[in-house]
Amino acid sequence: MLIKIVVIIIVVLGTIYYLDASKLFSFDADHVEKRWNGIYKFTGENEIDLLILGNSKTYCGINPKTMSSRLGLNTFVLATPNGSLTQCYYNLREALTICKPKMVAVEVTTLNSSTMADKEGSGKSFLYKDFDARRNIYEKVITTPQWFDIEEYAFAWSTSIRNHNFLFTNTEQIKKNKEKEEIINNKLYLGRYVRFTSGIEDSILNKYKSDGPSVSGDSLTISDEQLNSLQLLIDLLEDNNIQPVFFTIPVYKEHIKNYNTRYEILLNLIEQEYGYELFDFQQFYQEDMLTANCFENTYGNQHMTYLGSLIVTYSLSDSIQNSNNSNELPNRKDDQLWHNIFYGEESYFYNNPMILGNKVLFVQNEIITENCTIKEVGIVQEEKVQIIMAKIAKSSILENEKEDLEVQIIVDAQIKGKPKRIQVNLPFNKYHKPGENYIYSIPAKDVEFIKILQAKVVNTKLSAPTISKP
Amino acid sequence: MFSIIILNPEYMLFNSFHFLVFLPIVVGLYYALPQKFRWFLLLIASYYFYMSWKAEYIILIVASTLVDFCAGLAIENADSKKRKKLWLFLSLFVNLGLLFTFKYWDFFNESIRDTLNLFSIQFDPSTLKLLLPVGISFYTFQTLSYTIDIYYGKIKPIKHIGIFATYVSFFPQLVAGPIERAKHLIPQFYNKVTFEYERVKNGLLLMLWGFFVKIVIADRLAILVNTVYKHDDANNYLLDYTGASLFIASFFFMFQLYLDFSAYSNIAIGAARVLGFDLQSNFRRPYWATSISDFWHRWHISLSTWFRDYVYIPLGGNKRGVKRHLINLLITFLLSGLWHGASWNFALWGLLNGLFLIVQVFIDRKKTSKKPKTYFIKRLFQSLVIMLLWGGSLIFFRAQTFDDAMYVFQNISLTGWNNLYELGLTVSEFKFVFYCLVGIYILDYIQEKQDLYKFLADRNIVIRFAVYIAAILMIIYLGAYGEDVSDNQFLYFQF
Repeated sequence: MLIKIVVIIIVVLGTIYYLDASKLFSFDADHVEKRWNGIYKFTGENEIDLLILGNSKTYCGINPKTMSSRLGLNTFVLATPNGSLTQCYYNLREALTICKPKMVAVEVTTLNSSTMADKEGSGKSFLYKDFDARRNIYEKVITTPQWFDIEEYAFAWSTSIRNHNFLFTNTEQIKKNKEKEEIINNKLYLGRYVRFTSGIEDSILNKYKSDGPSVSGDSLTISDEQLNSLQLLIDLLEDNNIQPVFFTIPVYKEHIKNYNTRYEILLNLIEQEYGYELFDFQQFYQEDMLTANCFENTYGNQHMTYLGSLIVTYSLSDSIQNSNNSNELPNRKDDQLWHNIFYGEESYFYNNPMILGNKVLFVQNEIITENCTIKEVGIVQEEKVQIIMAKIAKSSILENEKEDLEVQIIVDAQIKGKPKRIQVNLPFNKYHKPGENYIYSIPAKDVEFIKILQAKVVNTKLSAPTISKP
Repeated sequence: MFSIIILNPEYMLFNSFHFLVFLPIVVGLYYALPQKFRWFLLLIASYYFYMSWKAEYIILIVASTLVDFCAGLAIENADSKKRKKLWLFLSLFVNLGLLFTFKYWDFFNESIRDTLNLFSIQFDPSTLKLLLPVGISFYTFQTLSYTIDIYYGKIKPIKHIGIFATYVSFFPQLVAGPIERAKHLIPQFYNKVTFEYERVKNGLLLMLWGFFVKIVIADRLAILVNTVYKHDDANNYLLDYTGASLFIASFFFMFQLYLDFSAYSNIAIGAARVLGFDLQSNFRRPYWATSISDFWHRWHISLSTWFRDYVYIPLGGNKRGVKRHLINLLITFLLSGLWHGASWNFALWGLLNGLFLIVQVFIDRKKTSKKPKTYFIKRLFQSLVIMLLWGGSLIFFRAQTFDDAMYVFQNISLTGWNNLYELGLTVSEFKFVFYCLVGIYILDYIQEKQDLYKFLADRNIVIRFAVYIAAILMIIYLGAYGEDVSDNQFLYFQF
């Protein structure tokens, strides 16, 4: 009888395995799957120096390509939607089987009152997706009882069982999956997911005024499960000789009240109890930079927009660079292989020299003006637009003047194929903060520079131009 | 009435992964242990099974066990009829007292309040709002039958408290029956059971069929029924539906109740059979009954026979004249209705079925004793009449309130079929489940003539395996479970 039962079990499990492997019952791949595929692909060829863990605030709020370009290292954001620290810990375990970063940065909104048993609805769906996308069988076995109730084991391990209702409710998806061809994507993916491009609008700002903040720092407690996971995570990092740092992705200043209470708890826990650094960008909010256009237009759970993410990414980069353990991190800017990976990627040319190539359409170096030298002026091709960019060494102008200055250049150019002489004014770019230079830039389209005839740096408030020698 | 029952969803349901892990472990250990220790394993397993729902309520089962064990011995040893009666009353008082407290106290008080309010008398009784212990009606009736049988000298009391505790809490039938008599079940704990291939296979097959019926059909029917009959604190969604929507929901509920409960019984009987126990069958194709009285010989047999033996016959049955016979029928069915739930809807449902039987009594009196030959068309007609009456009475059973039931009766019709696919099931689900019902109905008819389990057992191994594997895969891929299905409990777990 045992043999007969075993035969039946094998046939049934074999059918389930076949249906899972065929992905007939899967939803279209999303960023969760892309992220795990990304880390496996990236670590197959490269090392990760800085691994960032967190939730949706993190993958919206941290730009790993910008951070990599700024710091000269390989950064990957392994964050999950609705992720808690417990999820971060088990994801980290699997990540450590394929890479050994020098530093792990953990976003601390994951330290919250939730437990894995609380997850439901979209939170539970994302948990399944996260689990699905992982590949290490041993780590998945270890994770299963920590993430799921016994009744959910089959759903966690089998997409076809979890989504079996497609047979009645979503036959279109099955049909689509049947006809779908695998697309091989060779683009560099480091875990970022851009969801929000426009900031908070007046209606929400008015709601903040009328209803007050939607969150109170007093109410942000931490569950025992998350505290336990924090301990496990720190133990794991220490055992692997990896430096932990902790940081907070901010929300709009009007979004939260009494944040100090939350900050005190985090400070006591992370800095005093464990002795690690906490970079809290909520507590040390950059009033002048983090304006309404840096945040998602919502009164509820709030994420950062693209612009907001640039500010926080540079702030975190600076914090890490100035931290006690920055010497643990390599600087790969001397490594040509590293440049080969990041050349032309997002933020690369803001943080690295523009060298003529397929992404740099024009560049002219060392343009000396009356009171400063413009290190580079160039046109770089980004995904959808061209950026005309000038870099001025930080040491050559006064810090408090930088925002008042404008680089004005007169160039012979071709616009849509026709030769023209034009003046281009490049205002200060407050979002990109590379280590050594200030950036002045504007986006452009279909412009081809032939020669820069004149360049000057103008203080727009004083109207005192400095004419360069072309 | 469904809303007053609160059940913890983490309970170890038969159709849960938890049970699928639990049962093989118990079976494995059971056959590995020597016979003399097996009762202990079953007791531990049964208590664990029950405690996985709400651990503290095990105390009720333990209390019931201790009281009835002692009462049984005391009745046997009592030297006078009076003393025997005293001990019987003690057993009845404790068991029915617990049942009353947990199940009927609030209903009783609220009914008094509503009645007094009719006469403008203010009465504000305290309600307990206790969580109803799963299976309390079942195990209470099982233990009651034990002491009553001892009192009437039908059985001798058991001296082994461990085996008695196992009899009271035997996990396959603990929470929803079949309600077993001590005379039938207790001796089986002493049987030397060996692993018999055929018996175990039959048990597993019965369970497989139960799972299929429950998960693939009954739970899918439940989606539509729950959509139409939904009435929560905030809204009464039932009022959004009229005509054919009410008809189809009531029709589906009639099948849902049958398939859900018979599936539970099959799984319970199958699980017990795997362990070497023979439980009495609870259903015998009720929708092919030839009359109302025949129906009650086929529906929830263990409860029907319990009421027959411990209520109807002690009241005098049909031996004390026609008038008393009819009153006895009404009393028995009223109590049977209230057994199902503490609500006037259940009482009305019971009374209605009692009335059907009274009509049957008068029809039967005019019949000749000669049994007429039955033709298929006649069977079909009888079956449809039974379903119409039974299905109609079930509107009281399913509706949340009396007003809801009245609303259904007033608005149900065979018109307005256009929104059939907006009742919670997709077009393909609706068609699938409808074909399944037709299939079940036909299979039941065939089963009347031929044993389908034997038919399957006589096929060659390839066909048999293909059927088993297809059934398992259908349960997995066509079953109504998962995130979208919020309620997959067995209906009778509420009683």
